[in-house]
Amino acid sequence: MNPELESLFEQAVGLAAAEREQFLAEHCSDPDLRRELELLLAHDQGAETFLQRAVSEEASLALNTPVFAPGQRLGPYRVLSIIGRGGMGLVYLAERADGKFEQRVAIKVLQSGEDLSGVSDRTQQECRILASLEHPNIARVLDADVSSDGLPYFVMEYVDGQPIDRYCERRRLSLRDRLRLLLPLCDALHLAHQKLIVHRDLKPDNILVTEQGIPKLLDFGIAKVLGEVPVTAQNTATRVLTPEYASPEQALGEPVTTATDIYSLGGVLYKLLTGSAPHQTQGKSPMEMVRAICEEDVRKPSELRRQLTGDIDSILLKALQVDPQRRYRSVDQFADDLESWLDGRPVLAVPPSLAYRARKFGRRHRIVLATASAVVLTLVVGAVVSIREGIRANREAAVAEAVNEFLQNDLLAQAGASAQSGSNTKPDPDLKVRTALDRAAERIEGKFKGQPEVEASIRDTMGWTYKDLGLYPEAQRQLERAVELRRRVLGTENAKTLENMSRLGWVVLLQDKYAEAEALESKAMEGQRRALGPENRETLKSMNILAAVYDEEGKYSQAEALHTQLLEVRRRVLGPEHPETMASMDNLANVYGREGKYTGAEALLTQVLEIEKRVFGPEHPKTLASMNNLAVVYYDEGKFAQAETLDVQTLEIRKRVLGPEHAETLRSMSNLANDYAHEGKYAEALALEVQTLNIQKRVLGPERDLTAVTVYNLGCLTALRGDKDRAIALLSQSVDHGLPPYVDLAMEKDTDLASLQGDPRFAALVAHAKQVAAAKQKAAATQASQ
Amino acid sequence: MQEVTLLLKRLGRGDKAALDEIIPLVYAELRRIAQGYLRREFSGGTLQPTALIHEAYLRMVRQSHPDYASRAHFYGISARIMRQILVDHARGRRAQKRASEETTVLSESLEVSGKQPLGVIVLDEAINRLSAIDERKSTLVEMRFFGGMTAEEIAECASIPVHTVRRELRIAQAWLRKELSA
Repeated sequence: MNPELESLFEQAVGLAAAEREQFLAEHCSDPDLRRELELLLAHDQGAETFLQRAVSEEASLALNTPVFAPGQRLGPYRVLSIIGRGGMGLVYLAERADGKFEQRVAIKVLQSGEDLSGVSDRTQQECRILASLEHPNIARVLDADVSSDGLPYFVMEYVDGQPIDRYCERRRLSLRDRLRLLLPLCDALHLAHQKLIVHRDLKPDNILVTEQGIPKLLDFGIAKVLGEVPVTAQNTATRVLTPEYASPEQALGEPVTTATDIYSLGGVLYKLLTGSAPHQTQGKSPMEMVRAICEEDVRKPSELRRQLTGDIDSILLKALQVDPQRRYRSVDQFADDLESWLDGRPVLAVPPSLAYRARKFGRRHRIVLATASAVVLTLVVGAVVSIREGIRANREAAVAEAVNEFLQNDLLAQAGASAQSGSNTKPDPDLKVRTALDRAAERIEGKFKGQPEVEASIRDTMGWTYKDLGLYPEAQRQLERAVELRRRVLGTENAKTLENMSRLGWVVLLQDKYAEAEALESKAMEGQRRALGPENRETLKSMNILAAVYDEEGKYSQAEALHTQLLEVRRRVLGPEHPETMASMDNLANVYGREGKYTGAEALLTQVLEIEKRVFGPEHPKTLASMNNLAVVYYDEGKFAQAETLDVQTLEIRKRVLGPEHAETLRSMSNLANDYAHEGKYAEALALEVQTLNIQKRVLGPERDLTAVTVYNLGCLTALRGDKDRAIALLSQSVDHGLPPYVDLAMEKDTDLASLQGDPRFAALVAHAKQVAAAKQKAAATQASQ
Repeated sequence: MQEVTLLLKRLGRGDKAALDEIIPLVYAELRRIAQGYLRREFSGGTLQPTALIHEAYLRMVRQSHPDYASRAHFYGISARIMRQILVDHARGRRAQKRASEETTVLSESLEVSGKQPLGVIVLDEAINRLSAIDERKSTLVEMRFFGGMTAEEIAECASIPVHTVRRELRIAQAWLRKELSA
């Protein structure tokens, strides 16, 4: 912009109109410049508001516009039109874009200001449960996914019908017919409650009646995907709740149970029979609404409509009790009373005590104030809600346990590598689940005051999930807290505390902290032997881990003793071919091998191999691994011909099944080359080693430890053939290009290199290798301590 | 979302490539928050983009330590994105209005308001013209109106004195208004 213009504008703009005139006359002689300046000055007034309005008008429109326009794709579906707008988002009518099915569907897109990361996992999880709800009076959930914008959506059976209240009015149904319309819904709800699924948002708009007069429940359980949003002063009216039919516990942000649905269904029936909802919420402030729902008495239906005689008052008021425990115990009971009323039989419900209602609210009202701060959704909060629901839905510890199991086995554990993929794939710690876990870990603090068992259970699960992700320090932190909580509440000798401690020991072992792992694991095992008995599965698990600790520590006799005991018990209790029994055989064989007890190792591995060939088949990875292990034992025993036979077989299968460049294939090649070398078949050995080396260089790169080991093996082979110069060149090449320290250190005593002993070049190389190894170990130690 | 914090730090050190990574993240977050406002439609009042950006900031950046330089950068980037979102939306609205005649009629409660100012598109074009003669002023305007930033925040982000921001904004506003009323 013209600097002169700017400068003049700046000076003139601060002046009053009359002074401006004079200023311009004095300072601006150029007529073009003056015209432009005058224009600008004329537009100065109100310019800011003008611009602001242009932006905010568009913003308001933008924010109130459907996200998906007709014709747009949403996953495999094409949006046709918008059929409704709910508290949680818009509902679209859609059809399959690929024309695979004729069926039209309703897609509910959850539009939320909440942080929805993590919801997508839950959406999938929920969907699987919801999809299992098959009932002629429930609109099925067909699919759930997250749009490219990150909005979760549900695909549901499209129901062409009218909301139940409008249907009743338009058809002028009799009171008895209205009531009859509700009975199949009770049946549907009962089915859902048996599966511990709570609808949470029952209202006339969610119950559509088709042309044929079939009522259908919509949006089953969908409110749950957004989790429990506590009702606060800010969000009572507009968020998840439909206040007219919301239960007091929902208004207060308390956990939702099956009794919640009974309340809301009662509310719907109230509306159908009396023409108005149980509570008037229109035009009320959020706090007034909460008050109305929790405090005001529901007017007796008979006062609103005289035809409603007899026990219908009692039935409805029982369903609409403020205290969930005073409502019907189940939808079935509710339905029974409705049927009794239709048949003129006596009902279960008795007139409620009004004094009780008022007293109840006084206590609850304080809770409103206490929860009047927003709680952000996390996986964990959802988890806890489900646990509590489980407990309340049936008040049976077994059910609570089942819900907990579900969380542990399905929800969180999904993140783990073992569930995520095959055992050969590395777990990906960048998974979103990790983020969810980290956040959950932060927020768990102080959230479960007074519920240490729930907290411990969640921390335990989270810790184990961290472990599956390979994040051991995080895992340890959670498990330690869980152990501490359980120890405090349940005591040290409690089964759960001990189980938890044993898991902690395993995670500690994974971090190579042997002494600490040994202490934890032996404590857990001793405790379990006392508390659960020596042959309890959990005791055996701890024993197994402790044996692994001993093995790592080099305490072979102790490891052998434990593995022997374990194998004896497992053979007896689980049978000789049980996978755990076989794992024990493998473990014991390994320890035997390390102790030099080859006969024992050979006998065990031969048995294992025989069973695996029979049970898994001759080409199963487990069978191949055992063949490899047995070959190693033969080799160690000096039975090279037997080792060769096995290795040839293994190599042939692996080449065929895994491909010629797979790491396992290379391992077999390398082993076979060693067999050849020791049988004196140098040519075959050399050919194989060179082949291996070429593949490794290409696939792994020249500087990798495995590649270096192959170069070292070539060096050994060359030495065995008597070519000292070349052998030393190869060996020093391997030392300088990534040979693992343990090989560096073993070089001096390697019998394959016996011919080099006494050669000063070899002595120098050995010294050099020791230095390199020491440097590498030091570097590794520094890295580990950081 | 530590990611954004880190990217902002990189940007602060002059790593322009970080910008390409931040924009999609912030874009997604802004849209998500904006859609969340659907549920608060009864709360009344006009929605300000500022509120959205602030919310995005709270969600994406503010972790433990407030870092003023990062905050300024974040707001600056968000302003540009917000402008894009609103302009895209206005264009879409124009297109949708044409399309909706051929497809299903929306029920009355859903009908998009018939307001036709489409002011943002015109404003956007005017800002582009301003940018052609004075790029810095167009950036300041963007931050002020699409980012809802105060003069102090703009000064921080653009590394120029506050009084310069005020002076330049004032003439830029007048210029834009003149353009728009022509």
